[in-house]
Amino acid sequence: MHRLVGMQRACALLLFAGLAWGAISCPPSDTSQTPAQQFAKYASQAQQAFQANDYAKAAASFRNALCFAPENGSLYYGLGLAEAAASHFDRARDALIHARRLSPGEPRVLLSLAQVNASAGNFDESIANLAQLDQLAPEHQQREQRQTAIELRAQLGQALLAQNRFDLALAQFLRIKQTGMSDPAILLTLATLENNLGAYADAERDANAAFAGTANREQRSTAAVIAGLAYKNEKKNDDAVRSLRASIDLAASEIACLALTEIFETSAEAAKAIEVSQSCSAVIPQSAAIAIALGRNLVNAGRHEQAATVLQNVTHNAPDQPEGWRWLAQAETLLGNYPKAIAALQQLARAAPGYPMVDSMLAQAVLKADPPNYEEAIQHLSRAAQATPSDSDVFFMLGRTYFSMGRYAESADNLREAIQLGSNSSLVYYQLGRALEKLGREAEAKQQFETVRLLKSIGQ
Amino acid sequence: MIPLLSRRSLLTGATASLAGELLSQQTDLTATDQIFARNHFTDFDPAKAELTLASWSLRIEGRVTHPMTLSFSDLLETHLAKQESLLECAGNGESGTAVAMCRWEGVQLGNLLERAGAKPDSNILFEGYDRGTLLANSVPTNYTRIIPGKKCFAPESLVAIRLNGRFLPDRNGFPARVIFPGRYGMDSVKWLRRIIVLAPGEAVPASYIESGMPRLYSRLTKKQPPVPVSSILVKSVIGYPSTDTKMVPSVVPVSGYAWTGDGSVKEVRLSVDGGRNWDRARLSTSPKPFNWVRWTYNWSASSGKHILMSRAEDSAGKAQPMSRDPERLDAYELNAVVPVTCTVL
Repeated sequence: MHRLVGMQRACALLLFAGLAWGAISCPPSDTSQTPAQQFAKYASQAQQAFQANDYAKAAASFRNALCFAPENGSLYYGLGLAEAAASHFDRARDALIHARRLSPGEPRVLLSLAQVNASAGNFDESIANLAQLDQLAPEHQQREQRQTAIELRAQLGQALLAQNRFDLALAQFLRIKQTGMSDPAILLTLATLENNLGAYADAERDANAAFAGTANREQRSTAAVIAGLAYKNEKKNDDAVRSLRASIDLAASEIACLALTEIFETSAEAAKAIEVSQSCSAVIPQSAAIAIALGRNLVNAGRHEQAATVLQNVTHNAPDQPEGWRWLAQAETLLGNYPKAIAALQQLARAAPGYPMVDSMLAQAVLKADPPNYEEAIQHLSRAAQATPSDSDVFFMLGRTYFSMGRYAESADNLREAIQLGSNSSLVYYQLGRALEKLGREAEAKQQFETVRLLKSIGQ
Repeated sequence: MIPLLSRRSLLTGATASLAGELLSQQTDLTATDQIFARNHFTDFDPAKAELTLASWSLRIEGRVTHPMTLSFSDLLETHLAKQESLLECAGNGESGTAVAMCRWEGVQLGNLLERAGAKPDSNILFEGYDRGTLLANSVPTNYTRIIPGKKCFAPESLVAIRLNGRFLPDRNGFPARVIFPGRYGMDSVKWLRRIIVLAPGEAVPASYIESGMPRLYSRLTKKQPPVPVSSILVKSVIGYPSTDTKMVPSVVPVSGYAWTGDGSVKEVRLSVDGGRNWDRARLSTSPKPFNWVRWTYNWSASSGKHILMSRAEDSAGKAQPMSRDPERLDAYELNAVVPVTCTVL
């Protein structure tokens, strides 16, 4: 932040206010003039220089004048303004701190100090100055100063947001709201923060107030999407759908489209989810996220061929999006196109090497291919076991694959590991019994089949 | 004597999740939507209370040198401390779910009290925005608790504004509540409205007495005068297996949690034979004050019916009682050992 709110305006007020200067000797003594005359000369020079935008000369003249009135807070105030206007914020801050010491109840000094601190990036000090300003009696503050303070808070809030200091930013916007100010842009920022930080009901109120308070189409759309997201967070789905639809009707945005799709998706309304993502995709064709949502919902609705077409398109245009490959693989698997599914999963592994369960998915795909590739499945499953050593399902799959390869000892070892990791499915015990049978360990196999019987008796 | 309303009417809004669901979670923090909520007034609905971040304020007054009114922005502009601590309802059953492990964030209460000029030897009254009638025929009153100043000035005590990383949900005290780790939940006043500092020995306000508030949450026996409950008593629960579980013979990973209000959990012992023999369980997280500790025990389960029991002891040497004190007439501090019966096929 390098623009000061109302600094020059405040300075002009100072210069026309008429100052009572004291006198001390400091510059080379001019015996032809009294100290009062010298003071008046320097003060006048300071005023003229400031009006001519010569801030360095103005500051020098204020300093000279201060030599004749070292305890004059107004002079320090003027010096602070001149230094600030010259972007010498440290010097401005020092001068204004002197001014504050000499005139502690003067709101314009505190306000200028807050502005200088904000301009210098000392946001915490600026906030402290504004807090001190708030403690002064309101009648001591002019309307213009109050407005300047509000504008400064808005600037501070934005600067703090840029630094991800959300609590302090929220505090500034709340204080602005408390003044009675209802600027839609401020309310939208406030509502966004409230929603992101968890004050959903407040976000709904402020977003709805912003919606009602503006005729601007973009702002109304933004307000509706914030309200919709807040309702969604509170699981008020009917209100969320209403607001998000209103936002999309005004100006479709990716965030509104995805949120609305997700609501329908999680409430198992696949047709509506498809309808929303299809219409959004037509309006925002460049959005990979919306296209992936469409593909995903087509898969979930059993429209696998359409899904594959959509997702092939997405992965062609946005190959860095792992979800595109993941859902394309799913669609191809469901269509029985296992080589294409394997190719999509290999692309997924390349796009996102740490993608959860990618190795397990690859193993399943190569096992479904005709003929199944057991060796490759073992390689994928071994990597999966290393990545998630407590996943009993991976060891079960390893056990089954080794069994299919006729490697019964390794099959039994992996199935025992699955049981050790907490698997209590009768399928695991049954497979272990079969492996032990093949190994000729009849008694142990019988034990496993007995366990299968017991587990089935309790529904497992 | 004026009768208290039934305890049932005081404990509204309870969550109904099963102990097994709560305690079998793989995280040591309780998910926010599974944290219990207990309200003191049946007719108070926090969602309709119109408490907003912009309108909320907290007044600190009484025996202070600088009475003050704080806004939510004032709290946000103060250093926020984080505190992981357990919250348990004083009326939580022996294996009940009115207990949660939470990450709180807020302003240290002592910081605010110091700014107001309160002294640690004061007693301090906390008042919530929630309002209603506790006693039959009495006037409506705001929920209020009185806490010793020493605990209020302790670093762990907060005016909390966040729970598990988000602002407090309505039902958990939005926008601000006090948190007194180590004390039962009724002291951690929700929807905080006012703090009144009382001088040492100063009489509590008559309205507080008349509301019936001091008689809530007290140990009641036939022979002794009521004593307010305060610190959480040592307790453990078995999360897995739950009662009536059927299992096959195998090594069963018995697990659960243990906690205490003062100090930390020293050990947890497990019996698989109805309390005849006890074996030490493994503490799988390191015991810390105000936190629960997860424990596990690998039980080689053989066929038959078994009665499992867990029993915790804390660093102060206090152990869970084997059974409820028969003299107790109230329904608080329920920390006796609970048998869990299961069948191995």
